Amino acid sequence: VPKKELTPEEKLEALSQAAQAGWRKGHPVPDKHRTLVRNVVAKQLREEKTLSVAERRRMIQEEQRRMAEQQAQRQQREQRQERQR
Amino acid sequence: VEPLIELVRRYQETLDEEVREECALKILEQIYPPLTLFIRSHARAENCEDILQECLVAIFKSLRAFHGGTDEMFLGFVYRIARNKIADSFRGRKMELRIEADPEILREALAPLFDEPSLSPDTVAVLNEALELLAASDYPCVGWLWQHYVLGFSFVEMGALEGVTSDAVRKRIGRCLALAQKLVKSKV
Repeated sequence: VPKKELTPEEKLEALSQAAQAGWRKGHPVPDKHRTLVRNVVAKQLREEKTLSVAERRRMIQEEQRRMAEQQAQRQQREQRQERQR
Repeated sequence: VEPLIELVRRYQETLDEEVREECALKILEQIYPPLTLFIRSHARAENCEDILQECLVAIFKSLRAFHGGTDEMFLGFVYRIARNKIADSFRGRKMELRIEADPEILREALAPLFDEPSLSPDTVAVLNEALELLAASDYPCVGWLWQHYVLGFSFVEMGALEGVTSDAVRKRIGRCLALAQKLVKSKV
């Protein structure tokens, strides 16, 4: 019995799974990036521990506000680029 | 594998150094492959290491501030940071953030699998045909196909990024696939 020809969608689905699995296998986290993250986390923790609860809350709110602002700016920039296109 | 969002929650709720570090490293394990693939797909190879390091610092510096309830939302947060860092790497040059559908990336991704003796010739043939489909596609199709099939973005995520509905993305991908197939057939 001849094999059923896969649709383009099915072929790309197979590629999708293989590429992601292969990339994962070929890119384990190197020690230098583990160390980088450890250092960032330790520094953050030291800073947080020196803050009072209220200050900590304010810091988180400030960070959230800054991220929301950046996101809004990025969206505006992308919309402008889209309109220009 | 523990859901990402639970690790993030645990990280946010504790001030215990050991627990923090354990959660951070588990989060890193999970986000590292998609993050590196995302960066490699959008930036020149020689800039990737710097961008990646800046992303990791930014992600773990602002992890406490993340507020979202799902793995997808957290990955969205990670990709947002990555997009910003990639855009920063253009250093003021007017460049559009777009996918570099470099076949070398796919060869690199598939290399560990092609080395496996258990991979059947049928599977290899299917993967090569899929690669042909991608190679036959041009912009903007190749960018959309790459985003969905290589980076693994859902139609919903792609729609949110482009400000269109997920249904519009699905139709777009369908049209691109039909076109790619036509182009491959016309070459035979």
